[in-house]
Amino acid sequence: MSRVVTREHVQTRSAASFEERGDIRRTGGPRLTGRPGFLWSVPAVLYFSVFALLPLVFAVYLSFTKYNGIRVAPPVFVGTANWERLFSDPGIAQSIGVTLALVVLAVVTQIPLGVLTGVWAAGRQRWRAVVVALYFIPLLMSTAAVSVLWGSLLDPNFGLPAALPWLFGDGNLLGRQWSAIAVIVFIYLWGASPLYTLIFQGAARGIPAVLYQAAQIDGAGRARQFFSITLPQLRNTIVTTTILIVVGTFTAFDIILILTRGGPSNGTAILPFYMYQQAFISFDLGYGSVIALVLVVLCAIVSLVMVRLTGYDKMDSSQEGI
Amino acid sequence: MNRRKTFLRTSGVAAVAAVALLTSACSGGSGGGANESRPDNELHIAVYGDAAASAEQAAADRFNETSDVKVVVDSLPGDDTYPTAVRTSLGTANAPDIFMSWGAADIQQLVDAGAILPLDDFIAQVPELKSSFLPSVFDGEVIDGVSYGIPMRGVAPTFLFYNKSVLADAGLEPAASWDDLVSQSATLADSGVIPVALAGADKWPTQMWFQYAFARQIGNEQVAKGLAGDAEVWASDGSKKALDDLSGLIGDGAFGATFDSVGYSNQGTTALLSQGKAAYELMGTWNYATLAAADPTFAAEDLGWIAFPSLDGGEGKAGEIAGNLSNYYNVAADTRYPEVARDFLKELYSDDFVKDELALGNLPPTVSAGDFIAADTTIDAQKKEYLTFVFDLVQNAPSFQLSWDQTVPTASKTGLQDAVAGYFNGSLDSAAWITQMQALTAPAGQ
Amino acid sequence: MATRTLARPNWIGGSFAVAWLLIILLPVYLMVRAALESRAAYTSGGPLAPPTEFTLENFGLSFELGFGHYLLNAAIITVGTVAIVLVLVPPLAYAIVRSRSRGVKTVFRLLLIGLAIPAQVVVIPLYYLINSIGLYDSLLGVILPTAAFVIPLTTLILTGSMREINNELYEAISMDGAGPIRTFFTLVVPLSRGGIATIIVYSALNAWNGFLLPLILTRSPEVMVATVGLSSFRQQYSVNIPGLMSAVILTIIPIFVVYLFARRSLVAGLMGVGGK
Repeated sequence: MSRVVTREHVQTRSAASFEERGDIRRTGGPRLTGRPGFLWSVPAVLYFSVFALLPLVFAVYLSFTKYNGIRVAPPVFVGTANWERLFSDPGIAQSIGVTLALVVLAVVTQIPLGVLTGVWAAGRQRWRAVVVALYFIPLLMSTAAVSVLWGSLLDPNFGLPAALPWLFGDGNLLGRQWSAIAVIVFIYLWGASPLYTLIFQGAARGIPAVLYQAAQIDGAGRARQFFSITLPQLRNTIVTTTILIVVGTFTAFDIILILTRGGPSNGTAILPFYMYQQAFISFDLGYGSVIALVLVVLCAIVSLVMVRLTGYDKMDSSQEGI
Repeated sequence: MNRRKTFLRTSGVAAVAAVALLTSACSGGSGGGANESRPDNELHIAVYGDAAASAEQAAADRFNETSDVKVVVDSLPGDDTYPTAVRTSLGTANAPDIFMSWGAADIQQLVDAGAILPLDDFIAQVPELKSSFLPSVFDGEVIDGVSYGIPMRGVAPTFLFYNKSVLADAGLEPAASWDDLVSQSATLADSGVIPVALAGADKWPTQMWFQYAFARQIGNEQVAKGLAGDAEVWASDGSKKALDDLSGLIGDGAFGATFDSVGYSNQGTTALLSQGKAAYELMGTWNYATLAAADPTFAAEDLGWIAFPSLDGGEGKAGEIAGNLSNYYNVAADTRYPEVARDFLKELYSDDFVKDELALGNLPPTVSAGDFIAADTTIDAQKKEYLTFVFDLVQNAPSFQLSWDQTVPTASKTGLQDAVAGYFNGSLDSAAWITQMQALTAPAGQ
Repeated sequence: MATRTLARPNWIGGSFAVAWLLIILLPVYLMVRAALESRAAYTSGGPLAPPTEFTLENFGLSFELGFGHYLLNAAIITVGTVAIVLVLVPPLAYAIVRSRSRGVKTVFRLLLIGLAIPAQVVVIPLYYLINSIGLYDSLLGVILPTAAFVIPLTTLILTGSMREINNELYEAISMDGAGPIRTFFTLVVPLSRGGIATIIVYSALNAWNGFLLPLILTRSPEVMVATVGLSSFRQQYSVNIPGLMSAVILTIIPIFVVYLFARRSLVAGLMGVGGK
């Protein structure tokens, strides 16, 4: 326990020293008055460190051990064995491929749908409000129920495929990789898009009316207004939402666990699912931690690239210096 | 640069501290001896919290009427996460004293870790803890001659369920041999019925077909050897014949074309069988309860069941069965009240418990179960007939092949399910399947 | 804003929205129908059939199993999580957007790493941690880590919305001699209410639907939450679908009602998440 105190102590001290330097700078010019110092971020950072980073550090440690999750049989240090296994594991490359495919597909389906439904929902008619309220329901349904319901609806003998053979062919949706992925992407779209509808609805209502009035005077049609005003104005919201989707798709796997169990032939075995299998079905927590860390790094890289490309990482207000 | 260094140093210190804290927490408990930090006068049972947990709750209530140390039932969700929750907590003050397991392979790592209590002393004091149960089931958690688990809940062999009307309409009698099954499949498929309902999306039902194909072709003893790591078993001619038998059925469309998309838990196969769109289903004992709940009329009028057909020329012994043995209750090595735990385990063969399990549709693995079924006036005739059938099936079986995914080491479990599903959907041919099985069952190491 | 209600009705958008609504509602219909039917009626009808029966016995069973109590626990966890997020995240986002400290830049990168920590990886160390601070089997023990795991994303969302605040406003308020605290409360918080509304929704949904953390960190029925309680409708190999669906509906209704009442202010709040 005393070690923890030391750690916090060190961090607080370094925080204080940051603050001090901030103060020195602050005297440099009037522009800097009223800026928050490092201290403002300390509570959240400490909190996050204790409950999320500390356990993550433990996962890093576990990745160098052999451990089966039994507390009374402590992890045994095995060096880089688990990491070496990563590079000889044919399952990993496939899993990363499927994961990235799923992430891309999730973004390219959920963003357009979210924008379209959100912009439409921004209208003020009462019936639109009713429709939008109903859109919200999937967000509240537990995955246990979602998997059972879609499993029943997509059943080849009794569900939609049986009723609409012209659309679904033989109905063996989970028997082929591409159609199984399509099913997963669709269920994600169904389950997650309501949140984005809501976010885009709010954002669309925030677009200044004068812009549209000006466009109308110019004789721009609805389509042109959408592409030249609405979309550009929603740019930042699209970036935020994309990050939400990427992170959500990178970490969620419960539907896959219940609906396809990674099948057919690991065709839907995305990284988090693979990690879950290794860590909690096979109880190989060492290797499971390796996969988890790959996942964390992969997601951090994607987020970082996205944040860079979109200029989202600028510390300052985007208005600054204009 | 300076600040970055500070930050790196800070995070370095934090990392070291974190590992130290968590590893010390981790190596906390030791295997033996009572853990005095556990709650006073309480014996915690981690119940697998599904619809069948009511019998265990009732047993705890009965026990608490006379015991000073009270049994506390903690209901953990009945799903994949149960073993994780148990493993994580063992050794802490919040660990259960008694918890459930699925057979020797499932508890092997706990035994190696010294986390569960050998029950031989209990059995010496109370011989009924062993003698009350069917030996073939009790032996499921005997490792190197030491007993670790007391059987509870139902014994669950697999066998064929069928729809009487569908067979009658096609002019067929329930298949008595593998050849019957093959020829009937053709007839049934021609009449537009899926001969055999298979929940391929769940993978474990697929495995049941392998278990019987191999039991009939090479016998349970050979299968056990193979699962224990004898690579030659999988490469043997008998094994290849069994694989050919299966691919013959698959190729003839015995399972239909879409079995990969059909699930058991969303009642995909249940509806196929009960609505007459399929003739057979290979399933475990629990399927009766599932069907009876989902479609009582069908269960009462049209549901039939038979032992898995024999195979002419196969080397398996007549009447060999496969499936899930049972669940077991284990005791944590550091329980504070071992005597109380011992006394509670006696409930598992008590009359009341056996009756409650029978009422739930489970067949308790006790020697007395047969008499109870016969004497019980609260269960209807059909259910009685069914339970008697299962009891006799188990009683008369020369051997019981435990489900493969519960026999191989836990690390191979998912690989095994993938391999059987892969063979059925054609992504693995028999040579690839054999190689997979040899790797998955290879002894020592992973 | 009036221009959004254009004179011409938007037929294309309308039909698209209604079509999507039907897809949204298809599983919802099946769920409601299942919950109001017996298991026998549900199976015999198939997933697309019209309802044939009406019974409330499934809901009775759900209440008997203690779902009323589980819902209350879920509500407490949700409120607690949202409260912690509201206390911690806005100051952090404010610091990220406005601070000149290099340390804050590092914090931002740290958060990006934290975005994708799957709860599954850290449940075991979390269990030890919660156990060692004596919070095992308590609602607080679930609230603390649940809030921690939504911090990265909520911070990112809120940062996006705070970046939109015009710099001139900051300059004006600092001319007034306002320090960071006054700036934060009188300028930043009111102007980023869209982002704040989003993070409330996001963290509430996460807490309400949470499964793994309550599963590993609690064991008594007194602190069980609805998502975990759903397993009472399972058996080892099968599911009581109508029973499960009735319980799921019970978990939906309270938060849906809250949503209906809060919707107007929520959408108003969401105006300009990232937008202007």
